[in-house]
Amino acid sequence: MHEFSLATSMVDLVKANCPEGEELESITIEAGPMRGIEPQAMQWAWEAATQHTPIAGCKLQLIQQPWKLHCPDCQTSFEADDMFTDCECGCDKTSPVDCDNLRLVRLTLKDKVGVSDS
Amino acid sequence: MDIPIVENVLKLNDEVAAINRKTLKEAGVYTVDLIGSPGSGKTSLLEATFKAIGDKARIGVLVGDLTTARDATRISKWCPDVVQINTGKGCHLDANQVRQGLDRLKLDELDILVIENVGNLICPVGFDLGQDSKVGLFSVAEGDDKPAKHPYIVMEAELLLLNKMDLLPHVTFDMDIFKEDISRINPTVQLMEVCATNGWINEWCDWLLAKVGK
Repeated sequence: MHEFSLATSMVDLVKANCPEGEELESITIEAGPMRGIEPQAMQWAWEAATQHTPIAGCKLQLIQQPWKLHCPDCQTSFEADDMFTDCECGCDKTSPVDCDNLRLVRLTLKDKVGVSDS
Repeated sequence: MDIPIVENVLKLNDEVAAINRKTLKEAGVYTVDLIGSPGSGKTSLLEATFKAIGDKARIGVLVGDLTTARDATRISKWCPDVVQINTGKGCHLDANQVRQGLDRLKLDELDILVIENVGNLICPVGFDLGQDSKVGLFSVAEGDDKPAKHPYIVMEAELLLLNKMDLLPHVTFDMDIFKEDISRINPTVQLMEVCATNGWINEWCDWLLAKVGK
């Protein structure tokens, strides 16, 4: 259920960052695998947290990042689907790094009807 | 039109956590966020800690629970400085709840504050409360796979405790797997084996007292 807490935090953050007089089409969130976010639960929580607010109907684009692992032997970092992935060099002591991101990265505004870009 | 932006989703929580951290630091209180699953023995550990530490340090406790004041009632037998925070439907404590709890404690009289988080190994980890360190509590009865299944607490913790060591002969628990998974997720985290109900917690108490120079 931490998805709902995150959703309410996102609503506050989005309201604080949305330019006045604009309507939101969607927001984009990047989440690291450490955060343990379940996408369906996150979507449901977002809908529940935004209903009856000025940003009701705004969609949530969730980008789930892969694991980023660091190899202590060859000092390289690589991406993987599983946390316990060995390095190509054969090392089995890889550790996760920068896997707990949780960031709002984009607000997408609705096009205003009758207003041209030119 | 896209507006690129980079904001931490938990920015507001983190701002309040920073205020908590400043308040606690100014009062000279070392603060531990104790995180473990339901039934891992968080409250039993605190009861045993009070028994063992006695008057060597004054410890306050903030107890987070969905409902009931049972944990706070148990702890209040040992400690006058306990505040219950009921989170309702919330599965973790947030910095603002802790902020309100701090207002109800005489921080100047405390050496250590333990925040007993809501029983949960996932959600509490991501919310900074203003603590000095996070301590993760596992128990052998939960199985050896918990670090692998809940890497975030292993990653974030300064210290991990493995409780209910007296039950080890009676449960299926591979200590090698448990330790290997932990050292792979977080090679620097400290691990201590404890048993709260029979008072086998000296190493943990020494760690805690060392944090406040006692």
